[in-house]
Amino acid sequence: LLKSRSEKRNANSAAAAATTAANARSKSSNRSSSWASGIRLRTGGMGCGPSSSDDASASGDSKEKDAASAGEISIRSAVLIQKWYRRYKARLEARRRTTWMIYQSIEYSSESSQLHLYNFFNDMLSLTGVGGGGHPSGAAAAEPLKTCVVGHRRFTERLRQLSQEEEDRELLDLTSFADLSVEKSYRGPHLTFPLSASHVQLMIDSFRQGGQLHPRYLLQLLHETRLALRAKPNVHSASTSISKQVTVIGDLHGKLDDLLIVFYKNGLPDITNPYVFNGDFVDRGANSVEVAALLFACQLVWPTAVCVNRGNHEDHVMNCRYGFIKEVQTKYRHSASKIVKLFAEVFAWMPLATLIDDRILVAHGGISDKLDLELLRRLDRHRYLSALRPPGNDGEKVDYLEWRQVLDLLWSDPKPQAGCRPNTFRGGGCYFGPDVTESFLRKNKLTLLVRSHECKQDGYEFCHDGAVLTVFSASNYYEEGSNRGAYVKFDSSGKPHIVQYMASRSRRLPVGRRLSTVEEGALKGLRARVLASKTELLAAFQRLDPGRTGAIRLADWCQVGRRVPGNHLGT
Amino acid sequence: MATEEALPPENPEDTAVQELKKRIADAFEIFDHEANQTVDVREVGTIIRSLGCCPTEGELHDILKEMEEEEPLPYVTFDAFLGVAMKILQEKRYKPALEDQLLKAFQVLDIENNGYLTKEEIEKYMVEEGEPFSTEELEEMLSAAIDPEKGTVIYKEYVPLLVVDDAV
Repeated sequence: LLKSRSEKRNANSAAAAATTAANARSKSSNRSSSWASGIRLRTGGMGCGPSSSDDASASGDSKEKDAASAGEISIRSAVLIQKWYRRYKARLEARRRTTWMIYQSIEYSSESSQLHLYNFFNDMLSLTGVGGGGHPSGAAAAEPLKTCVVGHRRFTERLRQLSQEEEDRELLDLTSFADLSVEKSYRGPHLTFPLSASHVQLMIDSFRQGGQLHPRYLLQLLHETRLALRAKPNVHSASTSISKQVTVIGDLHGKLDDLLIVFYKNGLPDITNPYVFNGDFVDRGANSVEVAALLFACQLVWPTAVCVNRGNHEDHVMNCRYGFIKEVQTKYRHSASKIVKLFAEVFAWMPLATLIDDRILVAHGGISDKLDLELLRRLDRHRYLSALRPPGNDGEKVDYLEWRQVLDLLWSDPKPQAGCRPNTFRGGGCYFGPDVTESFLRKNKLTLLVRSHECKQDGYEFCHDGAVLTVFSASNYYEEGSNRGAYVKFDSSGKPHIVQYMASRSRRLPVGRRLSTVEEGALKGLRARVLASKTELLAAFQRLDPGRTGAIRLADWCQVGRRVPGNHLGT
Repeated sequence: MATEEALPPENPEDTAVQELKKRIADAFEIFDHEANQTVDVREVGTIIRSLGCCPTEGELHDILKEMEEEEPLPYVTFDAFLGVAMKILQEKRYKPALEDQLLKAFQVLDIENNGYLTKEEIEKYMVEEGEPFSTEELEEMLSAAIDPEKGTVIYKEYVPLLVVDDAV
C-alpha cells in the first residue's frame, strides 16, 4: 500500500484537504456522549480496521483519489501507532498495579505474622510464669526475642513503679554517658547542650557524608529529648497564627536522603516554618538513627515549631524485627543496649497526635469508631512502651477501651467500605470507612484527618471524599523507582498544597524499565514467600496430581496458594 | 477443612472457558479498587488492552456501548464486563498488528525516508492525526523514544522496545 515517495510529496498538501473531508464525514457518525468524555475521542479521528477506506475519496479524479488515499494511509499509520502505544501503556499499568499489590501483601502479612509471633511468645511466657522473674529453660531459639521482649519489659515495669524523680535518676544511671569520652579521632559532629541551629546544620553536613553521631552525644540528645517530650500533652496543639503555614511530613523509615530533600526544598524548621513529623522515622531504611537524631535535635532547638508524633514503628517490639535495633547494634556496639533502652523511653513519651488550628487532626495511622479525644488526652501515654501491649503486669485488669485509643490511632487504615472492623491484614488497629470519618470529624468539629502509615505511589492520596489525606514521605520505599515521596503544607485557612519528590535518578528512566526493576523486587519477595512454604505447597500440589505428572492447572495452583496458612499467595 | 480434590477433569473446551473467565476476572480485580465488583468506566480500556486486545479509541467506544445496560454510568459491573470481554477474546477481535506492520506505519510517516522522525514530526502526527495523544501521552512516548543526543526517534530501534516489553 505504500505509495512512491514523489506521489506522496504531492499528496501532502492534498492530504490536508482529505483530512478535512474525512472530518466532516466522521463528525456526523460520531457517537459521543457527555459521560464518555473520559475517553479521548476527538472528532478529528477516524475509526480504523473494518470500517472502510472509501470515505476519503472526494472526487472521481484518480490523482485526487490517490492523494486522498495517501493522506488516509498516513492517518491509518498514526492510528496504528497510537493504538499500539496505548496497549503498551495499559499492560504496563496492569503490571504496575499487580506489583504494588504484591509488595503490600508481603509487607502487611509479614507485620501480621510478626504480631502473631509476638503474641504467641507473650502467651507462652505468661503461661510458664516468667513475667515477674526467673528464666524459662530451653527454647534457645526464642532467646533473642525473649531478651528483647522480656528483658526490656522487666526493666520498664520496674521503672514505672518509681516516682518521677526516682525514674529519672535510675534511667540516667542505667544509660549514663558520663564515662564515655569523645576521642580525638572522632570526626563527627560535636554537640553542646543546649543545642542551637548551628548544631543541626553540623549534623546534617556530617550525616550527608556518612558521618555518625558519637554515642555520648546521642545519649545526651536522647536524655534531653525525653525531658522535652515529657512536658508535651498527648495531643499537641499547633497553630498557624504566627507562621501562617505548617508542613506535615509522613513516614521516613530511616531514609536520610528524603529528609534532606525535604529540608532542602522546604527549609529548616523555625517559628516561621513549623513542622509536624507524623511518625515512623525508624526501621527498614539504613539511617534510622540519623533521621531520628536530626528530628529530635530540631525538636530541641525549635520546641514550639516542631512536633514529632508517634508512629507504629516508634515501638520496641517493631524495632526488634524491622531493623532499627540491628542498626543501633551495628553502629554502636558497646553502647547499643543503653541507646536502645533510651530510644524506647523517648518513643513512649512522643505525643500521639497533633491538632492544627483546632481543625486538622494529624495522627500516624487513623481513627476508629471508638476513638474519643477526651479519653485520648487523659490517658498516661508513657505506660504504653509498645502500642501492641496494654500496660500493667499480668493479673492487672486491662483497660481495653483506653488501649484501643492508642492502638487504633497508630495502626488503622481508611477503606472505602463503610463501618469499622478489625484490620486483619496488619493484625492491629481497624479498617475505618467514610461514615466513621464523617461522624468523627463532625463530632469533634474538624475539617480534615491527615495520616500516614501506607505507602502511596504518588506520595499522597485523598480518600473518603477528601476528608482523609494520606501523606508518605519515603520515596522508593519498596524498591528503586517504586513511588514518590510527598509532604503537605497547609496555609492558615487549612488549604493543602502538596509537594512531591523522588530521591534517586530513576525518574529519568523510561517507565518500562523502571517498572522492570520494581517488578523484579516484588517477584523476589514473592519467590521467598513461596520457598518459605515450600513443604506445605509441595504436599498440596502432590495431592492434586495423583498421576505424578509434575504439572497442575493454574486454577488449582491459585486455590492451593490461597489455602496454605499464613500466606496470601493465591491473591 | 474443605476437601482438596482437584476440580473434576473436564473436556478441554470447558477448561479453556474457565481459564479465560479467570484471566478476565483477574485483570478486572486489579482495577476494582473498592473490591465491589465494579471498575471506573475510564479504566475499561486499560483492562481490555491489558488482556492483549488492541482496539482503537473508536472501537473502545463501541465496546463500552456494548457493556452498558441502559443508561451510561460512571462505572461498569463485572457481569457486564465479563460477557463482552469473553466474546471479544474468544472471537479474537482487535488483534494487535504484527511488528513489521508497526514498523511500516512509522516508515509511512517518515516521508523523506530518513530512517528517523524528528520530535516535531512525532508531535504533529500523534497530536494532530488519527486519534490524538494527550500531552501526557506524547511526553511519555517521547521520553522513552527520543535519542537524547540527536533529538530524533530512530523508529527501527524504538519498535522492538515497544514489542519486547509487551511479550514479557
